[in-house]
Amino acid sequence: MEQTVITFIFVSFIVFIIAALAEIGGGYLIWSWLRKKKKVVLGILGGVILFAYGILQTFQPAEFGRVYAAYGGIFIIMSIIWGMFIDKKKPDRYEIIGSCIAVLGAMIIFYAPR
Amino acid sequence: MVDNLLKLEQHYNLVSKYNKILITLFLFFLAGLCEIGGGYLVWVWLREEMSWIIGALGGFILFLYGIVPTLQPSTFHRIYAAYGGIFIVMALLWGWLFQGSTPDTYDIVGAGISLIGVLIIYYVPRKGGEIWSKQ
Repeated sequence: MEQTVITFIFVSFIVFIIAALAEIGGGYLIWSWLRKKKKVVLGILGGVILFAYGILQTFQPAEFGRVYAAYGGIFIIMSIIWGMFIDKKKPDRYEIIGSCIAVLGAMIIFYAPR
Repeated sequence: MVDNLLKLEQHYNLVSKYNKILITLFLFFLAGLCEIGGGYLVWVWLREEMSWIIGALGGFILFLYGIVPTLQPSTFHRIYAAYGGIFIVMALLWGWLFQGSTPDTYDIVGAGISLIGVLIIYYVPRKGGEIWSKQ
């Protein structure tokens, strides 16, 4: 039983990491098209990747809410990392402090003893 | 497209500080609706074996979800990080309204803390102010 729970959380975590990459990456391609004046092909590709992201999320358990709060936390951290490595933008003080606080909120939702 | 962005920026610069906050919050909310709603349609298509048309519509709404943040006056990573916190709150709301899972005290406290995080990430005034095109 214990083993099953750990496996479940691990699989969820991996799916979430890949999902966040697809979501941020797809969004970034659309952003490149509209804000960085790149080709429309990139925007369409971004749309396709976001669609793939939607399909990927169907591998998760049905329960919305708490599991997705955890995803929100992962998403925040990965957005900051994306900015650092792809856009070469160091997060400023408020981005770091605010992100830590928002992730703390997600952890309270996900890890609270119930 | 570039001209449109300039026009958007000009319009945006005319509104009051208070309305700017309302506009950007609304854009975050709209993005959340598109993401969760579009994702839900894809879910219904694959998990509840509804018509592929529903799935295609979901895909299109997810594409629109990608467009909404490009209307925000900031940098990519800041918009997306702040949106993550909005998503936490909206996922709880969605679960509550449509799936009957009532939030408990921890959910409400956690969501409140996440919102404070969003306010700090996105709404603390910085040097340079709003960013539209310099990316």
